[in-house]
Amino acid sequence: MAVKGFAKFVAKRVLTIFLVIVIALYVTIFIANMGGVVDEIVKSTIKMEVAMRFRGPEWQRYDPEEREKLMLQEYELELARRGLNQPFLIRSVIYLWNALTLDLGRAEYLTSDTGSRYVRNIILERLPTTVMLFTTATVLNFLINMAVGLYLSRHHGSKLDKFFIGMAPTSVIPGWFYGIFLILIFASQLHILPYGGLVDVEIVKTRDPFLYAMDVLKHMILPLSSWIISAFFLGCYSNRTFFLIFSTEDYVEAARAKGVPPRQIETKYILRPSLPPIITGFALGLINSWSGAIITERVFNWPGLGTVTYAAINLFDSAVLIGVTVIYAYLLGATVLILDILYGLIDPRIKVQYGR
Amino acid sequence: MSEDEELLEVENLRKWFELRKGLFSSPLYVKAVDGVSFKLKKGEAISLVGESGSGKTTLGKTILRLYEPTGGTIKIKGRDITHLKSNELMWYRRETALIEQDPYGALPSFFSIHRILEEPLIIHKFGNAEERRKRVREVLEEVRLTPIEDFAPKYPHMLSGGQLQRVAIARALTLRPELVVADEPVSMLDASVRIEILNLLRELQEKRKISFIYITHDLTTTKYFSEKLFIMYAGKIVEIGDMLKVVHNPLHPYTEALLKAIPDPDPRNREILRDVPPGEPPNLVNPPSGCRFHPRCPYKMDICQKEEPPVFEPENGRFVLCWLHAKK
Amino acid sequence: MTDTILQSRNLKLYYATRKGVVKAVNNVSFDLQKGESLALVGESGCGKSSLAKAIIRLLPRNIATYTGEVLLEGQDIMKLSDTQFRRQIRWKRISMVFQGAMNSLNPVLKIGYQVAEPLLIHEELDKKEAKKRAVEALRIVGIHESFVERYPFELSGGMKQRTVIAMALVTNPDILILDEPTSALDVITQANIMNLLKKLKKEMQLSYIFITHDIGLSSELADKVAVMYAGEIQEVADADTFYAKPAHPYSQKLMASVPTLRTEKKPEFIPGAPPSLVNPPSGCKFHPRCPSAFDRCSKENPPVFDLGSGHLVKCWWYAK
Repeated sequence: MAVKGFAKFVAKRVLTIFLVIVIALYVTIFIANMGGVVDEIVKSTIKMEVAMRFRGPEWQRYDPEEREKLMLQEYELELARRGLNQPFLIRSVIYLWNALTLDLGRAEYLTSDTGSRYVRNIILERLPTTVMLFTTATVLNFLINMAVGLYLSRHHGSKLDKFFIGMAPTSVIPGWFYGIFLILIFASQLHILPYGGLVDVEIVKTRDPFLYAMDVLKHMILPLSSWIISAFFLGCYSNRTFFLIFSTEDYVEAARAKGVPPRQIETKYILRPSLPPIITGFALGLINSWSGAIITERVFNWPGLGTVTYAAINLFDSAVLIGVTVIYAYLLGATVLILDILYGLIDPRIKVQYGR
Repeated sequence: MSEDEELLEVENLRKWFELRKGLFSSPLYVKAVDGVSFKLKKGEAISLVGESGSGKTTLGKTILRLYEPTGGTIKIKGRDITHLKSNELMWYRRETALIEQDPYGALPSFFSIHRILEEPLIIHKFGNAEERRKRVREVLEEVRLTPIEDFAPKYPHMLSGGQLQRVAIARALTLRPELVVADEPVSMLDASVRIEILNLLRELQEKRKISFIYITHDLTTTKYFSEKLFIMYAGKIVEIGDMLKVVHNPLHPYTEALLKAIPDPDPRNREILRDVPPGEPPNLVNPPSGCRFHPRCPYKMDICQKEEPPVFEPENGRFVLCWLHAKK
Repeated sequence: MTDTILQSRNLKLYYATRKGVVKAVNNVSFDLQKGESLALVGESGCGKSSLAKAIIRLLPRNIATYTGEVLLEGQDIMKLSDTQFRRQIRWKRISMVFQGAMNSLNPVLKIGYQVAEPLLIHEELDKKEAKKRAVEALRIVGIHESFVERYPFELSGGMKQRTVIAMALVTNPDILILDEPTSALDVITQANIMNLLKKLKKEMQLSYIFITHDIGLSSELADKVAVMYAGEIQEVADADTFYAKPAHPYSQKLMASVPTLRTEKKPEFIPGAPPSLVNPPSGCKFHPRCPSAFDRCSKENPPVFDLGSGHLVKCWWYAK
């Protein structure tokens, strides 16, 4: 009985989120194409290109009417080839369908490291490195800030607590700014850590997987540290305030009165009721970290999705940009879906409602 | 308007709040007020008694048109105000006032007392600055916050709960309203202050012939306030009558239960078990069928579960919503 | 034959706050007999909740003073260490029902578990045994076994209150402190809960300390009444005496201010406001509002005078 209710719940959520993804993608496509204006621009560019082809001396022999007719034919062929002979509204729907099925087309200027022009390959090649770095950063931040935050909430009002509050503004500075200084100190002055990149060429040449893994970790130290430093004080402080609110609940005092030992109070009476917002914060922080890392990847020369996005912006390679948006839309949708299911599992209020 | 005219006439009033559960579910409704009818004369004071969750606050606010009714009608001096828009209700706002439970929440903490009292006058464009000042003095004197110079320039956090509630009462009186609704005006005050404030309200009501609806869950405070008692349960008014008659001879089983439940300070109480019905007031999303009190009623009959009782008038001026009093 | 189960002597509990030292419990002494219910009555801010916390030692971090004697069957439990108190006294001999039961229950744990929890901690029972005892405790308070697996949000206000009572009683304590156990409940549910408490007192031979500001309600569970004002107990008397002829002017004013349903008496109000506990009045704490105050009252704080038969009053009018 509970399983059926749960399945119904999941099905409803999948449907709703899928609907949202479809709408979000369509809006993106519409905007990226400025409602069809970009199409018109491309068409006139093609017209000019085609006209250029008919400029050569070998065309002078034809009389102008013939030439016009041929140019037009060529023009229409070109349009058909590119799919531009259909009105924008239809094109946008085709685009949407392609996006949904992850048929992201070809990039105009960029290629992947393997030489492929398929946008899908370009993105999927770089996605894992970004995810690896930033997931690790988010998880580490999450654990550190939560542990310190819990500790501070137990000792609120102490000098240490006040110190953290005072230092909180340091988190305004983004990680890559600290990163620059970290590189200066550890790479430039002390020479103990690399300047950037994913892995050293010498290590790759050894083809040893263990050494490769170790070297990647070595290259991850500075970028990770830069984000941990940035998020530290404010993250700990906001966790501390968050836990303080939950630890001043009446049922916590009642638990203390009953004689529940402090460890159990922390897990059962403070952490568990506060799980839903904690998990939400974590999941959304995760997604956020995957998408906003352009500058960090530039500073550390990290071969990830941020670097690709940066290049695509510079070259106006819209196919790639739309592809990146599509991937993120799916990632966001999947994360929200997993979150919803998780809520259903950990929050008895939701669990019970669907179980009956 | 003569003494005996109807000021307020409420007929079959309903206020339902919508509860949406999700994109794909059909909406549920909290039926806070579900079919209330009564009349109020000019200068008449009534006490509306009900537990939390009975709909009494919603009823008070709907009468003041702070909510738009979902059904039924409200008439003021014969004029139908049920569905008027807010810009058409400005005159009504002048004629009515609300006093709420929490004085600290009801009064803005960043205005001085004088400014708080002046505000209704400013909004309704009453006189010039000098006339407004005079009116503020008047109302402060009426609620006995004197000397005025001691209170007018102060801010809310400088006053005690009892004093603040007097300010709230003064604010309610600034435009000389004809109808005042007081929703639990003394519940948050210390016991020793309650009687003082209630006495003040009664005095002002009698002096200025204001029609007054006093909403409370505490039946014992109503005896000194009004002549008429309204009992509310699960969105409906189940009994109306003269205060003393209702208290000494309740008609509705719920009223009877309420009266049995209230302890007077009597040392013999610890020896007895009170004869009250079990259970709790129903939730207003899915109230019981037929008479809403039937699951807990010690006098339940077959018909009580099937059909909602209409209003019966077994005695002149006493109304009750109960099959026990159906004419044979 | 009654014997004393709990005695407090010169109990003091002061908090340190930014505004000064709050003398919440200022030299309080009282006796509680076995099987007796002591109603502790006073307005908000008089220190009654602090007295409860002082007895069961649930203190916040900003304590300035915590002294005196609390004798449980002759043993001074103030002398026990915190660990000893937690293991031997709190929730084993003395339990508490907090104000606002709705919030005493953890929203993400099942109520059966929460009721069984003290057993798992204090008596180290295995889960099955503890669950059995929890089910029994819930049955005694009128909650059916099927609710054991439910969460607090699925229960009504009255049921939550009963759960909290079961939770306090599951370890079979001798003394139960009830701090406004029926606030936020409607009047009829309140009467049902009071009926339950009356039954439990007889069946389980419990001693109650029943804290409330509602004088009418206090008579429901009062063998003895103690009136608290400004952190001090001003009068103690058995119920028959107190409700008929209270001795202290404040008690008299309190009784006069109660609106009653069944008599024609008009309630009077007490002018003025309860005093601050940081800067209480000199001499007798009630003298600024007392209609019978005279010279000595503003200068010296009266001691406790014994009027016989356990009737104690802190008022200069009763000086020999």
